[in-house]
Amino acid sequence: MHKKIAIICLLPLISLMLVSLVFAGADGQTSKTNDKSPLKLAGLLDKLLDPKSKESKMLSGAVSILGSTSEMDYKSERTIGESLALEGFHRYGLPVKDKALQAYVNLVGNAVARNSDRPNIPYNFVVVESPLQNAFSCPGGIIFVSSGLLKTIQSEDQLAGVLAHEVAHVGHKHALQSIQRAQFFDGVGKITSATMEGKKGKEFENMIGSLQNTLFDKGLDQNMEFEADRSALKTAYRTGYDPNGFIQVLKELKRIQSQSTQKGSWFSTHPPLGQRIQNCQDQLRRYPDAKTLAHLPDRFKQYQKHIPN
Amino acid sequence: MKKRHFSVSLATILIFWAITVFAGGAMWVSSENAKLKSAPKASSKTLSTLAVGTKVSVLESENRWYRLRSASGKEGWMYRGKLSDAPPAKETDSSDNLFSSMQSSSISADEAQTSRSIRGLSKETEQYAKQRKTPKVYKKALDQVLAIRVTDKEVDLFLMRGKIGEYAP
Repeated sequence: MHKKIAIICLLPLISLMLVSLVFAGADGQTSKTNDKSPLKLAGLLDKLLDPKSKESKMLSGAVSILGSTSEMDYKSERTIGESLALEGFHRYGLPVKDKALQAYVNLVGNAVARNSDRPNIPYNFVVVESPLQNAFSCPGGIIFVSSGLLKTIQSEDQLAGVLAHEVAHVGHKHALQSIQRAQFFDGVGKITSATMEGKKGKEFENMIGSLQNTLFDKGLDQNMEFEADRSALKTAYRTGYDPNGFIQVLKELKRIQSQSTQKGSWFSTHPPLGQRIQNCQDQLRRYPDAKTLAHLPDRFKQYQKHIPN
Repeated sequence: MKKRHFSVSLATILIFWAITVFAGGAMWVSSENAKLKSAPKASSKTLSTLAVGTKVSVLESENRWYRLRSASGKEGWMYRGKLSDAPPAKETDSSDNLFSSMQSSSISADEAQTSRSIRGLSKETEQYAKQRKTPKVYKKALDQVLAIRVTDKEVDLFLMRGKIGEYAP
């Protein structure tokens, strides 16, 4: 008898809980910021809610922030990024000499970066002269995009998606994760002038070499790429660009893949495009009004003309 | 005994419900330059700008805007893209442990400002370039890249001209 009463009481309460959760996530946004952290409350909710549901993911994100907060200081991260950027110019080419184009890419990039998972660090974007279809990000927020890739892109929402993908790598510290076991970090808490000299200095160089190998040739872990893709769609959407623009870039790259140079490009450093497109299209369902958002092909093309042939 | 079990179950459910309702109504400012407006449109008066990480209670929504109240009692409208349903990751500006956690971080408003005002190559990068005998042309290129600074105002103007996000008709 008591059990029956308990069940009768339980039903409206659970309904209320669900309604309140749906209300909170009504805009289609979900946060993936910390969805890897183990959490007691999330675990508890997962027993009641479908673990794949928007609500459960939202809640797991909501509480995961209670986890650890300590990590590499920003200045050390930036030094790694700057050193890698110097190698990036060596490998891919110098910046395109056009202030208007560079300023435009920095505006699109900063617009999305302000709505990214890591909005409060400085971001710098640079278009480098290279026929390779490529974009990559250095730790700390320096982001490269090749003139070759810019020529493939057709509209501002597409560019926003690509830049948001690279911003996401910075936000999730993907490149840093790939070097966290580097010898350089043995006994080093912070990068200083002293750690750049002698044996440690050599180890730092080796570490930058290893980063180059990962970012320019081998590619990051596939799951990192998928995570950056998900973040790219979310960030573009939050800014007000159609997240489908990013998928259009992936589709175009897939179309031209067979006649493009593979080595050192997005083709060789990223997971198979078909799988990425499929994953992104699944993710796109979260953004039902995506098509009504900004595309801006004309403004993009106005600046695309600045790219040298 | 059964009555006691029932009471305990009911109390647990009520507490659990209260927690979820609390979590459901709350959102967090997750973007830089998150303006609180007097009405659900970008052209309305800016009441204040809320810092990243500010917790707010959502009171109602209209189109792509939320009416909300901050813990300090500020009320107004904010474009949906500035908010998320989970607290944003935080950032640390100083730590002795480089890799204790790669997934999350914490930053104070002051530290964020410091980070965003960094200009030019760091002293350590200069050392790296010297050791590697990096050609001057690459150092100059990086200096030029780092010299470009985009202000919130410039981003706003850019978004307005493109009718993007909160500036969409």
